[in-house]
Parts: sequence; C-alpha cells; structure tokens
Amino acid sequence: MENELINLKNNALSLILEAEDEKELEEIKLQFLGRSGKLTQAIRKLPKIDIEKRKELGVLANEVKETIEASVDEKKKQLKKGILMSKIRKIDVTNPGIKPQIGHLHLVTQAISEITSIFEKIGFVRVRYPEVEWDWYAFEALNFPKDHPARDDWETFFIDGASHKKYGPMLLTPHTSSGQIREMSNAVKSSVSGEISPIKMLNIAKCYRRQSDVSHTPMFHQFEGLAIDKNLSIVNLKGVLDYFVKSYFGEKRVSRIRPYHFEFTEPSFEVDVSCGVCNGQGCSLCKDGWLELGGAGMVHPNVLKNTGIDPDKFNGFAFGWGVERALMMKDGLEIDDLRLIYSNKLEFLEQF
Amino acid sequence: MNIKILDSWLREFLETNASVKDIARELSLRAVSVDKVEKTANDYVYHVEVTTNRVDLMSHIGIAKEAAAALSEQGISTKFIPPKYNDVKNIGVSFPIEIINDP
Repeated sequence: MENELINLKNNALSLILEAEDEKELEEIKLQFLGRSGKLTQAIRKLPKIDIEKRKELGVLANEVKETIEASVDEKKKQLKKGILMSKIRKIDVTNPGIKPQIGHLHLVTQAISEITSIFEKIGFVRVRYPEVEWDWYAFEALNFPKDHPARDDWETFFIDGASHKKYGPMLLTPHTSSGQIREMSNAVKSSVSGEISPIKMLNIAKCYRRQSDVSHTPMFHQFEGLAIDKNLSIVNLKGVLDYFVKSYFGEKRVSRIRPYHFEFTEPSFEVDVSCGVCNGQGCSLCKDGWLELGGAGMVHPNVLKNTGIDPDKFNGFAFGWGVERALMMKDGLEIDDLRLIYSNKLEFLEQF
Repeated sequence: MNIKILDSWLREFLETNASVKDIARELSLRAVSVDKVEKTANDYVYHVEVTTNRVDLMSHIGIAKEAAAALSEQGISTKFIPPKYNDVKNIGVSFPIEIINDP
C-alpha cells in the first residue's frame, strides 16, 4: 500500500511535468484526484487496513494529494508565463507600426469649403437657413405665381404638417433662394429708419426635389449669392461671376451671361463658362466652347417689396447653381450616375 | 418651352445677309437660346427654348422681329419684313365644311 501511494505520486508528477497545456493538466488532476481518480480509490481502501498502519498511510496519502495539487498549480503558472514569453519574443520592435485608418472629407464637402473660401475673400459671408421651410420663403415671396409648375407636389416635397397661418404650407427647400428672403427680412428687422445695411451673403445648403435618375439626386446642394446695396448693376454681377470662375476653374476660363427668365430676378441670365477641354474652341463636351453653369440676375423689385425693402432705394443681384455641377465641371469628372456621390461606396469615395 | 423654327420661313420676314450660324448665335446671346440647329434636306431648323416671359417669340414672326433687332445691333444689317394680312384672295369656293350638331 505504501509503495502504491508513492508510485501514484511519481506517476502523477511525471505526467504533470510533461503536460503541455492547461486542459491536459485538468485531465491529469481528474485522473488522480477526481471522484473515481486513482488516489481517491486508494484512499477508499484505507479503512480496511490495520489501525496502526492506517495512521501512517493516511498521512502519506494526504501528502501525495497535496503534492499533486501543488505541482498542478505550479505547472499552470509556468504555462501561463510561457505563453506570454513566446508572444514577447515574436514582437520585432524595429517593424514600422500599423497606421490607423484615417478618413477624409466627402468630395462635396471639399467643394463647399473651397467655394466658401473663394467668396469669403470678396466679403460674402456664409449663412445657414432652415431646410424645412414655409411656402412664403421658398415661393410666394420670390414672386412665384400661385400656379407655377415648381409649386406642384410633383416637383417639391411638401410636408404633412400643419400650414402656417401667414407663411403657408411646410416644405423642404427646393432651392437655396429661400435664403434670400430670410436674409433680407433679417436686414429689414435690424434696419434703422428705413436704411438697411448692405447685404453680401452666400447660402450653401441642401436642396430637395422629386427626381432621381442618372443626372439627378433627390437631395443635392446649391450655393446662392446675394448682394443688396444702393446702385448695384449688372457690371457688379459680371465682376463677381468672373472672379469666381477664374478662382474656381482657373485663370484661363471666362464667363458670359445670356438672357433667361426666372421669377425672382429681372433681368435674368444664364451663366456660361468657357470649356476647359477645348478652351472655347468647341468640342464634343461643350456647346460651341461654352458650358452652362447656372442662373443669375438682378433681384426683382417685387421680391424686395415682399421683404420690406424699398426697391427705389436699394437693388441687388443674385446668382446660384449646383455644387455637384460645379464640381463635375471643374475636375472634368465624368460620373455616369450622379447618385454614386451619395451611395457611400468606399471604392468610389476613396478616389477623392 | 421648345419650339422649332424653319430657316426659310423665318427669312420670309427678314431681309438679311446673316448666315444660319449668325442668327443662332445672336439669338442665343441676346434673346432666347437656340439649343441646336438641325440640317434638313434643303433647309435648317432652329431648336429654340423660349422662356415663359417671352411668349411673343413663340412664332416665326416674333423670332424674326427679335433677330432683326439682335443682328442689326451687331452691325449685320437686317430688316424685318412685316407680314401682309390685307390681300385676302377670293378663290371663289364656298367654305367646304359641313357642320352637323350632335342629336
């Protein structure tokens, strides 16, 4: 019996020594100390032995049990340390670190900040006005007749909310021109004895229209400039347009204006910029050397009246067009489907 | 609104040496946009985008008046020939349509 216990101890110790992981150690522990383990079974035999010897054997059995438990614990600690050591040895501190992934601004955001900084230099201050707007600001005050097609709900998103008593239905801004009315109304509110301080604003905002195809997205951006002062003329407008075209598209590009019609300007113009590919000679990309950029004009007297500005004293000019359009014309980007810009596809966005 | 103007018809109301290209360019820059000029067998068709404030230009006569003004301004001597409304010819046939009211 004594030898049996000593053998068990030696067996267990040699197994523990060779164990390679914690799982194996647990198995060994079970094999000897578990409910049907070898040592447990040996101890069960003890009561049948003479009382004299039983005492000695009991002490020995306890010793064996404690030794096995202690060496299992010891081995576990060793194993843990070993794993750590092997990991530490694998690190090569001379390796360059892994760079964290850094995002970048969306291409439309980039264009907006560029446009803002161009106009900042000639004193146009960027303003922000609500995107959820009243009919008065988006249409009525801008001289749109009641039955104008743009006021149809096939063109504009109207919101299912209660109409304003004074300002009419609620809608999403279909153009940035609503900012003109907000800006002029604010100027009138802070005017002193009918004299408003001159306005030079730049409103860049999201616009919403009910159309979605390869060249339209239901949400897009426009930027809108407005200048109100005494004795402004088309010459001032042309100067601002030329300055923008040269700053944004390059020194070689020129702008021209053609007569057009908008409800809120009179006279109204369409703005063309000379083609950057053929330098105005005419090519397949442009129309006789010119590309259409957007609209402009002298603020209609009715619009001034609607906001409370005296059209006999003050006048002004306004211009506005799509940010996406300007962006595509600048870089000569040929995006087959404009909706890609807002698709969140990384393989597309990472190219900018 | 887009309308089509026939070159030969337009010239019935114009006395000018201006070329098709001159007319298209001057109209675009000074009045309403000529989007494109289409060549047909022996004539040209101007595709004109007339804005809603210029409904007076939605006819050959209207465009002719505007073209005369725009071209003259640029030193291309052009005269508008007003249409003649007063020489109505009697061709001797009574109005050949019979009108029957719905029962």
